[in-house]
This record gives sequence, C-alpha cells and structure tokens, in this order.
Amino acid sequence: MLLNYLKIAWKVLLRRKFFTFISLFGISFTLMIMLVVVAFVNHVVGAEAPQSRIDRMLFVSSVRQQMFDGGNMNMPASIFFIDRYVRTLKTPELVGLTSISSSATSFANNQSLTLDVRYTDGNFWKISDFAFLGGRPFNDQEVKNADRVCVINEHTARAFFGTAQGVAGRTIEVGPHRYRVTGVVPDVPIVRVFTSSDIWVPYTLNPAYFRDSRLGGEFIPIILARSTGEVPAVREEFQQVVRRIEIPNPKEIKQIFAHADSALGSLTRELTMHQSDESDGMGVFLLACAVLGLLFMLLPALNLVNLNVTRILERSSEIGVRKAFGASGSMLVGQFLVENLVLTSLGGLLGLGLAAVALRLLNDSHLFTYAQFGLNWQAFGWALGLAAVFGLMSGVYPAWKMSRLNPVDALRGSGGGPQ
Amino acid sequence: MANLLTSSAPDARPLPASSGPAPADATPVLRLVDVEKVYQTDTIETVALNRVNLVINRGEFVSVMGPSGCGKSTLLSLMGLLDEPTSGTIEVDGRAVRSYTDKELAGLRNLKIGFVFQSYHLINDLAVLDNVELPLLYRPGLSGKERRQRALAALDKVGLSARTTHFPSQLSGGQRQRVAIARALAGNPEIILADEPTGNLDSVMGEEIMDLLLGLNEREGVTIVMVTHDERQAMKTERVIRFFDGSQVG
Repeated sequence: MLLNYLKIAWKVLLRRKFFTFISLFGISFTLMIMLVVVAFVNHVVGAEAPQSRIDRMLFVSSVRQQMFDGGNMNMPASIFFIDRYVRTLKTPELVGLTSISSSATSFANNQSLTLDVRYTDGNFWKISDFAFLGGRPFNDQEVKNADRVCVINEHTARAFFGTAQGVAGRTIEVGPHRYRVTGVVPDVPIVRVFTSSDIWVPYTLNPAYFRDSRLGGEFIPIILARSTGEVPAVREEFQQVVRRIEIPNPKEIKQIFAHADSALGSLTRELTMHQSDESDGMGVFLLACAVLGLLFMLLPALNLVNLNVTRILERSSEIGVRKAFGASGSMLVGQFLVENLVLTSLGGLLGLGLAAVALRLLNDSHLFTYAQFGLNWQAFGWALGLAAVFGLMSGVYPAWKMSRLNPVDALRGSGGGPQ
Repeated sequence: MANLLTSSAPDARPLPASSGPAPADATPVLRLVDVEKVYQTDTIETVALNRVNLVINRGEFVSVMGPSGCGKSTLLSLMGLLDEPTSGTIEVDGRAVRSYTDKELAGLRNLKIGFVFQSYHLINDLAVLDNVELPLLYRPGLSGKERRQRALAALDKVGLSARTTHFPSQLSGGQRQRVAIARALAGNPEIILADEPTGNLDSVMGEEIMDLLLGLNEREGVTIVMVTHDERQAMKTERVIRFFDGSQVG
C-alpha cells in the first residue's frame, strides 16, 4: 500500500510542476532559515573545542546589586568576589576565569590591528580544550607573577609573524606593552562568547584587577563540575554561598544576586532579564523560540494547506473511487499525509542544501568573526524533524477534508458516476 | 457486523469450481425494503426514490432502466453503500446495513461490491495493474504478491493481461472500461454494480463490454446490476427493472 501511495505521490508531484515548485520553495526556504538558526545556536553553545566540556561548564556572567532606591547595578564579578565566593566552592572540579572582551590596538607589519583581549587565569586553559598549534598556555605562576605573557590566536600570529608555527617565545607589542607569546591556538568564532578572543593575557595584568572588596569587576568565573550529573549540586552550592554574601554597603545595597548558569542559560537570563530570579529564563526562552518557530512555519504551512485543498478537489474522482472500493476515511488521511510527508521531506532535503550554501556564504562574509558555521547529522535530523512537523501541519486539515468527501459527490465532481 | 466482514474474508465469494454456467439461485444478495431517498435543500425537497422494494438474487444479471433523473443512479449508489437511504432498509447477504460506521461500510464495500462507472474513473497516475490492484490494497492480510496475482488474473479475464504496464491514457475507451471491469472483479465481490458501462463507448466497443459482462455472469456466476439507457442491451439481461420519477414501474 505504501508503495502505491509513494507512486501516486511522485506522479502528483511531477504532474503539477508549478504547484510542486511553489510548495518546495516555501518549505525549503522556511527550513533553510530554521536550519541556519539551529546552526547558529549550535555554534554558540555547542560542545565543540575549546568548549567541548560545555555541558559541565557554568558561568557567573554578572553580579546584580539591588539598591534600596529601586535601582540595580549589573556588573561582571571582581577578583575579590571570585576568590571569596567562587574559588572556595567545594563541589566543582575546577574554577577558572575569563573577562569581558576589551579591545587593544597594535601594529603589525606597518598595519594597524584592533585586537580582542581577554584576561584569564591558568585554570581557564585547563577547563577549556584549545588545541594548541604551538607552544603552551601561560601557567598559574606566570599569572601570579603578572608576567607579560600571552596566548594568541592563529589569525593574530599570521598578522604579526606571517606564520602560526614557531611563534612561541617571540614577542608582540599590544598597546603600550610588549608580551611574550607562550602559545598559539586556532581561531575561535566570536559567537562563543566566553572563550573567543585574539589574545589572552593573565588577569593580573588587567587594570580592573583591584585588590579591594568591591563585588563588581570585569571577570566571569567559569566553573567546571566533576560530571554533568553534578552540575545541579554545584549550582545549588553556589546559590547557598550567594545567600550568605556579605553586602559591602548595607545602607545602599539591599540584596545581591548572582547565578551559575550554563552557557545558554546565561544568555537566556540576560535576554529574559531574569537576573533576580532563581530561574535562568530557559523555559520562557525555549517557549518563545518554539512559538516563534511555529509562527514562522505557520504562514508557508497555511499556504500549503490552501494549495493542498485545491489539489484535493481536483482529485475528487480518485477519492471517490478509493472510497467506493473500500478505503475508509482514516486510510485516505494516511495516504494524503504520506504524500504530504514525501513533499515536505523533499523540501527538507532541499532546505538542507540551501542552508549549507547560506552558511558557506555567511562564513565567507566574515559577518561573524572566525565563524565556521556548518551542518552536521544533528542538523540533518533537525531538517527531517522540522519537515515532518511541517508536513503534518500542512497536511492534516486537507487530509481530513479529503476523507470527509461523500463518495457520490466525489465521483460526480469529475463528471462521472451516479447521477 | 464483524461476522459479516470476517466470516468469508479475504474473499467475499468462493471462486467458481468450474467455468460452466452458473444460473441465478434464489438466494438474495441485496434486498431493498421500503427504501426512500429524499434530497433536501433550503427550499426544495426532491424525492429521488419512493418506497422501493427490490431483491437481487445471487447470480442474476439485472438491468435498471428509466429516463434521466428517474433515480436509477441513486438506486445504484444506495445498493453500493455509497449513500444512505432517508428511510427503509438495505440488506446485504441478509443483514441489514444500518448505522454502520464509515470504516464498517468501507470494509463491506471492499468485500462485497465492485463498481464499474460510465466514465471508467481509472486513476491516470497509476499503471493498469496498479489500478486493478486498488480494491485489494484495502483488504487486510494480502501480500503484495497475492495482490499482484489476483490483479493479473482479473486482467486475464478481460483479455488485457498484455497491457499491465500501460497507463489509462494509452488505452482506448473500450480497453479502459475493460480495466475498470477487471478492477471491479479483482476483489472477487458478491456483486458488480455497473452504471452505464457502455454509455461512453461506440456501438462496437459497447457490444464488446456487454459481451464481457454477460460472459462473466454466465461463466463465473457474477451477480451484476447494470444501469443503462440502451433497450437492446437491457434485453440481453435476465431481468429489467424500470423506474419513473423515483418509483419502480416494472
């Protein structure tokens, strides 16, 4: 029976080439956009180097100080905060830090370079998994000594030295200072907001490395749980610690909020403004994404519903015959859904191809620095899944309408049968 | 109901043991008792069939005649369980078909009834063999091979076994109607309902189709009810039922 359905589906697609083109265009274009978005999200929070252990990594991206006058002050953490409240946690395997990205100007081969700079510690290199092209990361001792050492990415190495090989030990001048390169790492896409940079230097060189007890600074603690299963325990311990934070200025500051979130969670907390809540806003964010995704697919789906209904009426003779010879309504619904799923699966494959082209163009455009957007089996699964959702969305109503046709009317509609 | 559907499945009728004549016996296959069909619109009520009482016996070849609009096609739709009477009872194999679900009616049609339409109603996107297989698709328990064998046997009966891979558009009108008859036969139904099967054909092809139907009735014992306008062809059948303005007049 399935073969019969597939034969009919294929013939119908070939018979109505314009209809097929319109349908496939609508489906594949919509799916292309969805796949590009999936690839983007995967690129930001996917478990790829240097954040392969992303499912065990937690980030404290901001510390909120709620004032008595109703105002809030959101800042990244200070080293004092990290030393006092994060490095002292018992449950994590490691605690490291990075900083918000800042810019520095440099000159290489008589050309001005604007470089992204991040300040990190030795543990940053242990938590992340950069595949060093040469050299090594700077270590805890060099951080403690505030040595002027740095790790640079491949792009920066080539800009300064024309090569990424044999660069370790050489020096570069960034801003007013000269740094010794300890190692070179591959370029990290800028959308990996916690790990991407052009140059990494010890945090002890940061001008915002104040040695007082202020809570706000420029640093983002990165906590590595021992296993994925222990992530909730780490978050819980951190929350308990936050509740006991000594407020430095109790007359002005009412309460302190800080959260250890996953990479995506810290983004959703920002987006959904959940800085004062336990929840990181992931539920709201995912719901909003699902609603937006469905709405985005709804318009082309409705268009396909309309085309499908018209197409069904043109096939009333076939429907009448099938009913006369024993097809029940549910069998016809099945047939039509199979046909529609064939169409949408083709659209899904086409959408996958279009998405691959779009991502290649996006990579080449350098719109997102060092981006290496790509499609994988996961994306392929998404494409097929989305195509199936699309197929059901656009097929159920027409199929139901088709199954309800009275066989006598259906046969009469094409000029034959009982009159 | 379940008994009706399953007792003789997958065949509604045992295949004839021989190809010799199979005269009509007095076992009713179809019975209509006080059947009325009224079409109602906002303003008009049209009586398409008025208290029809009719019995079709196994192995009979019955013609239904009457002027256009007299209700003969409505009668065929009701006999074929494609429509429901406004009142009265339709019995198939002695069982009243009343308040059956869509699925039950579909199953009953599949097992008991084969249709032949004036304009063939073949599916143009499917090859001849696939068209003939169609009723068997909806019969549970049949393998693809069995379906194919039955469809080939049905095509053989109508003399078209050499055209299995052709598409309807590649056939003449007479050949298309033969394919339609093969499709009606493929499911081995109790009864074939033919709605003006020669109406779209010239006289030569019409005769061919008529001879084919007569042969199926005589040699294979297939029960046939045929709506026709053609007096000559009606006279070739065992019994002629005449309708006028929704009532049986002869």
